[in-house]
Order: sequence, then structure tokens, then C-alpha cells
Amino acid sequence: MKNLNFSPLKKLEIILEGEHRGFATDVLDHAGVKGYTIVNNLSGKGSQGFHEGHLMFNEDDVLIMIIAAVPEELVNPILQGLAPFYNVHSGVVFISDIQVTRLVKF
Amino acid sequence: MSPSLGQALRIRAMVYVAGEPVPYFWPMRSFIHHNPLHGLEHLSFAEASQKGSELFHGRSFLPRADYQRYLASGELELENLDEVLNEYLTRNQLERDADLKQWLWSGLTQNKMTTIIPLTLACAGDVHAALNNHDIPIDNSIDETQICEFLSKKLLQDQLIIESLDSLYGTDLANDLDELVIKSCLDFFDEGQSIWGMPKRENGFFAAWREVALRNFRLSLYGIKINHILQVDDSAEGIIAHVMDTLGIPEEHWVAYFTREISRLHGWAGFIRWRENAKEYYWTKQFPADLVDFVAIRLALGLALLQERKKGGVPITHTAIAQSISQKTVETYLRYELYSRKIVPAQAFKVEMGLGSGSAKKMSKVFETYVLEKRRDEAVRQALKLKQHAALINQEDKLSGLSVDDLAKLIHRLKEFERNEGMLWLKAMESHAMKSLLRRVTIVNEPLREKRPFVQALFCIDTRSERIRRHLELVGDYQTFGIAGFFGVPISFMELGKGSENYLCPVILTPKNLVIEMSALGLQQDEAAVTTLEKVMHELKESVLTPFVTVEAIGLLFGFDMIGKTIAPTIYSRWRQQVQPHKNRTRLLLDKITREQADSIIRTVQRAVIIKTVEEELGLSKEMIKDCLVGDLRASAMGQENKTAQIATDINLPEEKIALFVSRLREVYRINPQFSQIQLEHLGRIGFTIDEQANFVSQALTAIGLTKGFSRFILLVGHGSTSDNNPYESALDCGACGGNHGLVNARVIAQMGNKPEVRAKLREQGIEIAHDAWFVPAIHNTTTDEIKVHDLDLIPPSHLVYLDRLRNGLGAASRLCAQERIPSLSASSTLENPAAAYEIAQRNSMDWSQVRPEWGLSRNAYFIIGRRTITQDFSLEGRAFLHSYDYQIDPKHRVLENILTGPLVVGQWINMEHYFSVVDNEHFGSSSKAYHNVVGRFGVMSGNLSDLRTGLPSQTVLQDGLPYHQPIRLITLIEAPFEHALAAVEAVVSVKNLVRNSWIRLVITDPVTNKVHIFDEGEWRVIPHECSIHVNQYEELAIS
Repeated sequence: MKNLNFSPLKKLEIILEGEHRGFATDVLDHAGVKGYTIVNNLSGKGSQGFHEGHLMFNEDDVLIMIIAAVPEELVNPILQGLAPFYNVHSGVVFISDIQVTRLVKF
Repeated sequence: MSPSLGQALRIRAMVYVAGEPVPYFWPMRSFIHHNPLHGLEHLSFAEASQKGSELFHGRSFLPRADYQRYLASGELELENLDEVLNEYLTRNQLERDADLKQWLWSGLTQNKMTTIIPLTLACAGDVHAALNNHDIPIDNSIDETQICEFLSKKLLQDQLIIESLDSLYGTDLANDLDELVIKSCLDFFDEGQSIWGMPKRENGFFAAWREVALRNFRLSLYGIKINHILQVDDSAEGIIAHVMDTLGIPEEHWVAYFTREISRLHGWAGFIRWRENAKEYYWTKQFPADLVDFVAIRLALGLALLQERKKGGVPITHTAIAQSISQKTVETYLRYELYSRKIVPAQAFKVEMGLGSGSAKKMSKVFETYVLEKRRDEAVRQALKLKQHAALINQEDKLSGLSVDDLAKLIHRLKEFERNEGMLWLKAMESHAMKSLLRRVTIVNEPLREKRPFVQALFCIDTRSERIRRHLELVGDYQTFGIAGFFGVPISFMELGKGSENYLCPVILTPKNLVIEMSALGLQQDEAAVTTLEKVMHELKESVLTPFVTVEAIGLLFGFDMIGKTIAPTIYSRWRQQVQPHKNRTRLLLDKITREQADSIIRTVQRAVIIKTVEEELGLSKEMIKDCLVGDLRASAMGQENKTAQIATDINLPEEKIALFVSRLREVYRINPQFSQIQLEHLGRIGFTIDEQANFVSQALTAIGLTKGFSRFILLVGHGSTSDNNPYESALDCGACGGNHGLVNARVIAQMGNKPEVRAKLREQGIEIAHDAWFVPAIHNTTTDEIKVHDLDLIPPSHLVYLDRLRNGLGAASRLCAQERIPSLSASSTLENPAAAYEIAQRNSMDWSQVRPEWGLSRNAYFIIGRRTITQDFSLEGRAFLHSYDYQIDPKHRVLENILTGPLVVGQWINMEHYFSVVDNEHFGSSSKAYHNVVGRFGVMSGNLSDLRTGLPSQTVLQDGLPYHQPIRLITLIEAPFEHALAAVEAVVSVKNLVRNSWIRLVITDPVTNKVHIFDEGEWRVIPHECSIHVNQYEELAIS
């Protein structure tokens, strides 16, 4: 068995309305992030009130969360890139410390 | 200096936010009706129409004279107007001012023009003096700070730098910039219309454009130097940062500045926004482009144009203009006035001379005189208008006798009123339309049928279906239903012979299942798909040398076509169709392929790839490549077994080479387990499982309330239109099918519904479909009103005897429907018989000079969700979207939610598109078709060079220059218990917001309590449902 090497990274959890998914993934792509995970159909409460997740017909009217693990130096640029968006749209970004084993994938 | 990553990402986000108010523009091959103010739907309709007006420089309401015409013709009555006027006065606490009401009422009903003019320098005191024939008091001198503020707002806040330069120096730079940008867009976005394409488009819009611009001889001919700007950075974000810094615009204004840049060419911007979001679009994948590129190109070209003008102290930066305003106030103001087209005419020459002299003293003198003259002019004009208005109500003396304060109050109130006047007219018209509908809608319990109807027919909710449904119900025992034109089943369709997928569903959905069309005759060798003549003509059209050769060689043939189509369109088209080959009978593959079949397909593909690669890279000939070799290679690549040693000995090559080859197969040619998994997923998209099929059929039937008593024939009628030489032909097709015709969806759901396994599942759910009930797909051609039945070869023999009766019924309904419809399209107002009307309808579909093959969805006004019985016994004149719905079988209101979230939203888009295209066809619509030129195969522009035209052409919404479509918001009526309907509306966020922000007018008729609930101005009003509703009764109950 190989030894597991743990490398520290930062995790970004970006929560925003589903119709802007393209924008958020665009920011991550341009920042050079290699991959991300999208969690769909969230509901939640914010300063605008409660958002109900609604599937069926309209795929856009939901909240989604995009999870990306990035090296520390990308955190600030990505947040700068999201700031103008969050000035006018609802949502949040959480930044936390994580560790991964296969650094080559991130 | 390149911007940092963070800065670049920030700029990208700013452009994204800046572009949000501009709506998407879909390629016209599948035209989508769309609310031009979609990006502003988070605001109320009143606010959004104001903002949209500013942003797109268009009118959001008709001019007063048009509304007065509606008053005269009866689409609006005085009592409606009185009602809304009283509401307005009450809301502004002015209900006791009887005089004011007289002023406003006479203005609305008698004055063709508005009364208040913009007063920039004059004040109420000046107007007061003018009214009493005194000269304006000269001691009220103008404050220079007031003028500085005015100029700051106009030049620095409201306009782009380049627009401000035009305002101050009378140049036309903004339009020049637009033209240069349009040309760049035309070059890049072409989708096969031109033969020579822009080089290196794969690198992206900005990169490709930059390459060309650095070498653009044409630009330097105009004296525009752009190289030094473009050398600063090779990224779009870098150029944006550079230009904005050079222009000195403070960062907090960047987003607003970008919005203004983008909305100058909102057609192109809307197209780029749509295109970058449509990641599966072929051209997006080939030649990527986004809004950031667009803004960068605009800014770079704009700066180049500005810098070219820099000599002689012309201010071209934000700071320079601000300085001009504060330090050379007089000169700046005079310049602004001179080129603003609002200068006092008598002073124009003096001002021009003064500016030309260059002497500050002379300009001061001119300024003093000018300012005085302008005040005088404004005051006199305003006084005159007030006097004319007062004369209508015999209040001239009273007017002159008003004090300055009272006059100021009057002017202010009139001004406020005129600003909000459009909304008043709109609400008055809607009130009339609502009452007219409610007066006729009946609530009766459905009579029990002794025997099932001959045919049950499901039509699209499209307004054009209302007519044919009515006539069909008249000619025989037909029961009709309304459902969204895609029948609730979103599919991605691959047509026979085409290599790409087409989404057949509303654009707000992405279909998950793929349906493939196959020839019913089985796989055959490539037959001559087109006749030789067609092939020759087709190829010749594409060649560069064509213009030189064609006229002489082929001209006669093209001329033949042209003459035929012009002189005798109907006969010629019919002959032409016979000459062209027919499409063979086709079948739709819509069952899932099994896991084994999928594996087998992937295996076959992989083997084919391996054979090819071995041929090319290892140099073996075909005979040497044995099956077991291929199998071994495949197994090794897939990591199942390592056979490299054996392979090496088999074909006599070193083992290392084989190992390398195998890893190449794995990495480059993607013959590996992970990629096979992805391929499996793609294949898995084909078709629907039996469960899915049963679900879709069940949803469709439950949605319309048809769950028992099935007829022998259940027609599923999709719709489409036919026209010739019409870039807007897709706009006349089915919006629910993404701008395509609805036949494919009809065939899909018919095939599903006829499957025994599906029927078995439906039986389990409680929907019992009779054994002899058969689903038949059909298509309603809305231009000719013909209903054609398809897939007749699948009909069980027992039904064939009834086909004749069915065809006769459909034919009769078609002709009657045409007879009702054609008078509004043709010159003669009455027609002797239905057959004549039918002929004209046929001709419309084939005539290439016909700019109005049909009216389409014009005059749409209502969206009615409920049982057919409530609308069955009166005509809605083709103005209503009708969706069948039975609340009794929808206890959890889930079906109603689906209807609201899909079809209603599409209906609202259609309604808003028509609304804005008719109130201002120049800015929100696309003006006359006669001047349209097709661009890049996806859009049109007017004339030689213009922005991409959005919206509907004048021929669709206007008739003889006057509005044909009546601009009112969609009046949505839901027939269901109040709480039930309200809960459904609240559950769908998008619709809840549309109602709250008054983008649609919601009415709920409760069949249990017999009450009518109307949502107005943020609250619900209740009125009992009666056959006729009197005004005072309505008011009384509204207040209570």
C-alpha cells in the first residue's frame, strides 16, 4: 500500500441561484480550477426570505451550491471575481480548510 | 500592464452583471418570443417599463392619440377610464380636487397631445408671468451651479464619453463606433452564410478580432490608429482595464457604463449572451465568444475614435469633461445646447458665432442673452399649452388668476400625471377586457354524456387553436382540449439524415431523452437524396465564382423559378413539390436500448477505431488485422488483461512498441473504462423507459382532465406554419416546441399512448383506456388551417372505416375556420364561401411576396386555465390561450403548478413580446420586413448595416400603420377554488413574482362559491360572479 499524502487546500462552497450557474462555473474555469461539484435543488433562508426548491418544469428557479477545492492563492482572486455579482444577487460563499490526497487532480 | 487574476475576474463579473438587463436573442431558425424586459422582471411592471424606456430608448406605452382611438372604437369605455382616474386621484390624495380632475379628464379625452413640456431653465414664476402677458422677471438670474449640475448629469452620468463628445461637438462618433462593432460582429459570428470566413475564429472573438485589427488597413484609411491600444495587452480584460483607466472613469461607475455600452447594440449583445450560455450550440463550441470580448472591442474602437479627435483641447476623458464643465461652464453649456436639437431657434446663429469666435468674453455675452431667451421661450410655450388646455374646460380666467404657488402645484401635478398616464390607459383597457370576458364566462356543471364523443382532440394552447377548436366542435361530435404544444414531453430530436440534435420543448427546459427518426424501409444505401438539378444548383450557389458564371449559365433556370413563384405561386409550388422527392415513411425510436445493445454498440465503435489506428500507426494492412488481434488490443487498453506480449509475437513487433501503442489507444483514442462509461451515459439518453412513457402520458391526460371515457380516436394535434421567404417563419411555429412544429412531439406521445405495456401501467394508476381507443398524431397548419393526420399506417384495421368521417369533419372545420380568419388578412372584407377563403389561405403559405402569411399570435389577450365548458359557447376571436384543466382530479394542485410554471410563462413571454413590439415598433420591434436583410443565417438587420433586430416586425403587429395587436398584459383566468389556485400560484416562485409585480393580471373564478377574485395593485378584490357587472356594483364591492 502506498502512503497517503495529505495536502492542504481551501474549499469554496458557492451558493447562488441556479440560473447563474454558467457565470459561477465561468469564473472558476477562468481562474484555472480543474474541477468542481454541483449540488442541485437546494432550499434555504436568506435576507430575501425563504427559497423553495422547485423541480419539474423550470430548472432555473432553484438554489444550487458549487463546491470547489482550490489552492490558497486562488481564493482571493475568485472572491474578487464573485464580488460584483453578489452585490446585486443573493447567495453566499463559504471558505474552509480541507485536505486532499491526490493533489494532482486539483 | 496586465491586470491580476483577481482584477480580471472582477471585470468579467462586472460585465456579466452589466449585461443582465439585455434579454437573450435566440437564432431566428427557432425564433423565441421573449419579454424584451425579461432582465427587469424583478421590478414591477410600472418601474420596469420606466427603466426599460431609458435603457433601450423606447416608448413603453402608446401615444395618447392611439388610446383615444381605442376609446372611440369601443375597446375601452369611458367608465373604465373614469374608474382608473379616480383610483389614481385617491392614491395620491387628490380625490377632493374637482378642478384637477377636470383638467386630467379633459386632457385624457379631448387633448391629442400632452400639456407639460420639460422646463429646464424656466420656473413657475416665469410661466405665471407669461400667462398674464408680462415679461419674465429678469432678477431671477440663473445659478451657474445649477447649470453645472445639469451638465454633469447629462454628460457624465447619463451618457458614454463618446456620446457626450457628440453632444458637445456635433460629431457622429457614437454611430461610427456602432458601425465598426457591427462589422466586426458580422465577420465573426457568421454561420455559413458567407464563403470566406474570418481567420482564427477558434481562438475566440476578441483574440481573432485583435489579430485582424492589428493589420487592418481599412481602419488606418479612416485615420484610426488602434495598434498602440491593442499592444497593451492581449486579453479582453486587460484592454477593458486599460481603456477605462485611460478614460478616467471611476470604478464605481463601471457597471453602469458597461450596461450603456452593451445596450447600444442590444440585438448583438443579446445574441452573444444567449450564445455563450448555450454551451451545446455547435457554433459556440467551434468559435467561442462572450460579452467580455464584445465590451473590450467596443471600448478599444471607441478609444481609438476618441483619440483621433483629441487635438485642440477637445476633452476625451471623464476628468477632462468634468473640468470643462466646471471651468468653462459657459462654453460647455452653449455647445450642449447647440447640438442638442433643443436650442432656441432664433438664437442658434448667435450661439454658433459666439462659439466660433473662441473669445470667453463674447461667449459670456451670448450666454447671458441665450439663457434669458430660453427661459422666455419655455415660459411662453408652456403658458400657451396651459391656455389651450384650459380652454377645453372653460377655465382660462381661473388659470390666469392662479397665484405662483398654485400654478406651480398645478404644473407639478399635471407633470406627474402625464408621466404615469400610460399605466392608467393600460389598466383601463385591461379592466374593459376583463369585464368583457367575465361577462361571458359561464360556470356550469359538465353534462353527463350518454356516449363517448366521436373524436377527442388535444390542441396546443396557442391562440390560433381557439378558432379551429370552435369550428370542429360545431361540425360534429368532437370534444377538444388544450395542452401545451409539446404535450408535456420534452425531447431532443435527431431527424433522419441530420447529424445534430434539435430540442423540441420550451426553451426553459433541457430535454434529457433523445429520440431518433429512422427510415421505415430499413437501412438502405444512400439514395439520390436530391435530384441532379437541385444538387447542381445547390453547389453552384456556394462557390466563389458563381456570380460570374451563374447568370449566363444557370440564370435562366433561376429565372424560371422566380417567374413561377411570382406569377402563379399556388400552381407552381404544387408542381415543384411533386418534382421533389418525398420523404420516406419514418419511425421514431423511443424505447430505451438495453444494456447489452449499448455495450455492443460501444464495442463495435471501439473495434472500428482500433482497426483504423492499427492500419495507420502500425502500418499493417487490412488482411493482417485479425479479429483476435483487435480483441486482444481492446482488452489490453481496457485494462482487463495484459496481452502485450502475445500481440508482440503475433505481429512480430517489439513489446515496448506494443505497450506504447496500447497506452496511446487508452489516452489519445480514449478506449478506456471511464470514457466507455461516458459513452454509455450518452447512449442511455436514447428513448424513454416504460415507466417514463407511462408517466408522460398520464401527466398529459391528467393535466387536461381526460382520464375516462376515451373515444375511438384521440387526436394529438401539434401545429406549425408554412410560409415562403420569411425569416420569421419560426415565430409562427409552436413556441412550446422551441420554435419548431409540433408534429414530432405528437407522434412521440401517440406512440407511447398506444403501447400495450404503457396502457397496462396506466391501468394500475387508475386511467383506463378503452381497447379500441387509438391515439393519432396530426398537425394543424396555422397558415392554411389544414389538419393533416399522420402515422395512418399504424392505425388498427377496425378504425379504417371511420377515417372518412374524420377527414370530412377535419376538412369542413378547416374551411370554416379559414373563412372566419381570412377577411382580416385580405383586402375584401367578406367572402362568398369557405372554399374561396381556403384558396387564399393556401396561397398565403406559398407566396414569396407575402409579408403577412398569417397574423400569428397577434391580438392575444387571455390565458384561460379551466374546463372547456366555461368558454365553449362563445367566441374568443382567436385571442385566448386555452389550457384544459379540471381541479377535481388535482387535489394537491401539482398539475396546476406545472401548467403555471411552463405554459403560462411561455404565454407571458409571447404577450410581452407583442406588447412592446406594438407600442414602439422601431425600438422594441424590428420595423418593416421590407428592409430586412438576413445576417449570418441567424438574424436580420434593417438596411445595409444596423444592430441585430429584435422583436416582431411591423407587419405582425400593425395594420396600415395603426396597432392591430392590442397592447394589454395577459389576463390570466384560473377556474378553480380560490385557496387551491392561490396555493398553486404561491408555490411557483416565477409565477408568484409575475403576479406580484403585475406582469400578468390574475383572475380566479371559483366554481364552488361562484365568486370572482381579481388581483389588483397588490391585493385581492372579490366580486360575485354574474352575467353582467355594473360599474357601481363593482366599485362598491371593491371597497368593502
